Amino acid sequence: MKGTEVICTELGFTYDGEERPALEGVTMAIRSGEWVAIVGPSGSGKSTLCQLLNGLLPRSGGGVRAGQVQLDGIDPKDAPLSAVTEAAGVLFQDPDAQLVQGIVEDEVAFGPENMRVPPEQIERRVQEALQAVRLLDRRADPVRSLSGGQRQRTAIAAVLALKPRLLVFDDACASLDAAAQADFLQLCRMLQAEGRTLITASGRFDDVARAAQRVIVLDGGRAVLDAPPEELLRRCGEQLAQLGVLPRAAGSRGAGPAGGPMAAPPAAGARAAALEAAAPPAAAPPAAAPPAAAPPLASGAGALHAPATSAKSGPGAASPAAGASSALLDIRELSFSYPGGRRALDCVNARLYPGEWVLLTGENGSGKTTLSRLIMGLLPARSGSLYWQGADMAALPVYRRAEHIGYVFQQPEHTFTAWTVWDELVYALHAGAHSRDRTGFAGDQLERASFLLEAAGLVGREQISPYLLSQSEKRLLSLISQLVIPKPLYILDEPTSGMDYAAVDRVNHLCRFVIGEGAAVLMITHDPGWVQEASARILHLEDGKVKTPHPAGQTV
Amino acid sequence: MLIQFETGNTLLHRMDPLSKMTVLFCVAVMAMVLDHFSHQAGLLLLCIAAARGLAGLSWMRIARGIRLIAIVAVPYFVLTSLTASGETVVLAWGPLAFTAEALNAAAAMSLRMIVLFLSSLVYIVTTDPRALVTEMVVRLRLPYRFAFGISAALTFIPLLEAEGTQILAAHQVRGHRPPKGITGRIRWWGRFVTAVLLNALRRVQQTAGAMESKGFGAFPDRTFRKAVAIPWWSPWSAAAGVLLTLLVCWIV
Repeated sequence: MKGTEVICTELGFTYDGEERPALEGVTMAIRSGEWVAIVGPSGSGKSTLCQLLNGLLPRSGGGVRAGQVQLDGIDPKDAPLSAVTEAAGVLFQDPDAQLVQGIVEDEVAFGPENMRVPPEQIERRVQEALQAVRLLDRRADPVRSLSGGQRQRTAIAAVLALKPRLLVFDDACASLDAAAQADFLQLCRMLQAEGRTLITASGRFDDVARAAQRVIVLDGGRAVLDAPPEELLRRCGEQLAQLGVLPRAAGSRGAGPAGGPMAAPPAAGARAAALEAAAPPAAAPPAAAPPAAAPPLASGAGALHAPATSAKSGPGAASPAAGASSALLDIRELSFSYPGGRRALDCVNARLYPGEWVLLTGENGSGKTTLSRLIMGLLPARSGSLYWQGADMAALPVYRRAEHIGYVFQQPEHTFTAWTVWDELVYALHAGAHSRDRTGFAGDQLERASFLLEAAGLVGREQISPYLLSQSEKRLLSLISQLVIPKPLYILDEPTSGMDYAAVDRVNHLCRFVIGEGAAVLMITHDPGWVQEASARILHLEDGKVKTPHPAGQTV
Repeated sequence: MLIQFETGNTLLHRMDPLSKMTVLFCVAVMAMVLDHFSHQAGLLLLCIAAARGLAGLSWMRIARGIRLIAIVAVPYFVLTSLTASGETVVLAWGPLAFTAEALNAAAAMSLRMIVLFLSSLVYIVTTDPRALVTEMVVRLRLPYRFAFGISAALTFIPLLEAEGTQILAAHQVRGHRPPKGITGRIRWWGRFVTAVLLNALRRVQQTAGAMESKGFGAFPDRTFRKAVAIPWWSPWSAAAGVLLTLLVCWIV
């Protein structure tokens, strides 16, 4: 197998309706069979470059391309689709945006079928590709029944089955668990050994980038560094850390992103005090009560009743403090099966206390998102399995839970309801009320919103559409639009997925901020290494069961 | 999800998509030519029996399907029965008069809607879109782009349904309370439908790009991993359906 040779000359790209180019003057040559990592912070142009390589931009996506791209001498913008598809296969950042068939094995077979591969060969390719991403046992399942990481693996398998000479993986590890990331690294090595050219793009100088032969660093749409990884790490460590693609030294992390607004929080009064207190949480939860923006659920319209029995001790019930009575959230022997019988959770016990930061970890498909959706009421939990401040939550509708629990979805686009970033941020303050029914925002509400906007690094982008933000920025917007109202608990579903380290620092700092206010945070993550320094506890799920609980201050 | 294919082994699941489409077309023709409400009611009972007995749909699912189309059918019944012309007054109340002809026309039309919806629902639930595409391309020699267009319509409905559920959840999580009063409900529905349509548009654009990236349209033809098995009785059932339809048309 001979890999595709890639030559880009003064390559630039400007999206329709935008004045500033997303990519500018990129010149690079990638030899056949070479493995190159493209690394850059959020919004640096990585995804744009990936989409230019197979001609999706500007052919389908519009926009204006400048300069030249050559894949083995053909220009993907004008060349016949068959030639481009054979030359380059691209895995895009959002797996949901590229899964088109509905069933796992159909997704994988779709490309080879289009390329007129004989049926018996297609079957073999499907087998091999699904084997490579460890999804053979889910081949007949609907894609929508998979977890985010499993959908990512399905998308990888779909590109593998095309067997292109160049493989472009745009943030392939974003939603993968540690084991799947290691598998992916192994897969890249195998593909390169076959002679294929490999381009891996990510927001972090991660293990995949370190394993590449060459790393090209993008910043602001321009290639700023180009060298073997070990040389870059040796010579340009500080610059890479400032760009946010390498983690900064542990000692400097607590102060917020380098050079960012968090270094000197603009907030005043109580907000500043909360930030002062946003040091890594103590072993025991703070005695202070959580924010009480809404009345206690137990004072609601009679839908609640106190638990009949005391909480049973379970593996996940380990708590840093007293018993269930002081717990904000008490999960008791919670099990859940999806229609069709697939068991997602099996007798989960856990407690969450005010001021705690709990990381919910586990492999793709281990039940993390299911647990969070059950807590939020987006899936039905049986009565007597979830208690909020001692009262059964079973009968509570989602909007009542939302008064006390902020929930950040895995896919930020799902929550967007407004036309601009600012409107999206303040949406929760009027909860969708008609403009004529809205009262003005209070001064402290506006102050909080402005502070959060700055903390998320979105100042200056208030008036653009949320959909035009980079993926990391979308996640940050989704997060702060929940934090804009103080609540006792925030559930964050993989908020750091695919983020560069600077953006991860922003998420960490925002979490510490609300914890400083007394709120609890339950964060689903595959990045415990980058958030655990400040966490109180890790709750690890394996096949829907709680494993290896880690009490306060203890990490994996 | 109400409107989407589900794997199964019922008689209608085993019937090949084209034969089944022929029968679906026959049901539609019969629904159009039958004018009396009792005939439509009979046809509806047959559809319900087929949905339960031949397609394995639960009573709950059939009821949900009928309830969904009833949102349109019931107001249509009320309006037509009040406005359609007729001579035999059966009930009069002030300026309002219900005639037997208007009631018959209204009931027949409303039942027709339910028949068409329910038979289509049965088709979607029991037909694998992949098999439909394969048959249209392999047996009917239709261009595969066209066949995928038809199949996309089948796969897009559940996608819209899923997007709707997701958006509904997101709205609730962001504090939306259930709407109150007619104005509130209209406003809420407007916002919900706009969000679903915007997301659907975005999804269509993404899907088109993703399909192109996987070589869709690269060649004038394509291969199919699986061939569709056609049971011997399937074409005969379709032929019987056509004959029955012709007979009904001739009698009516």
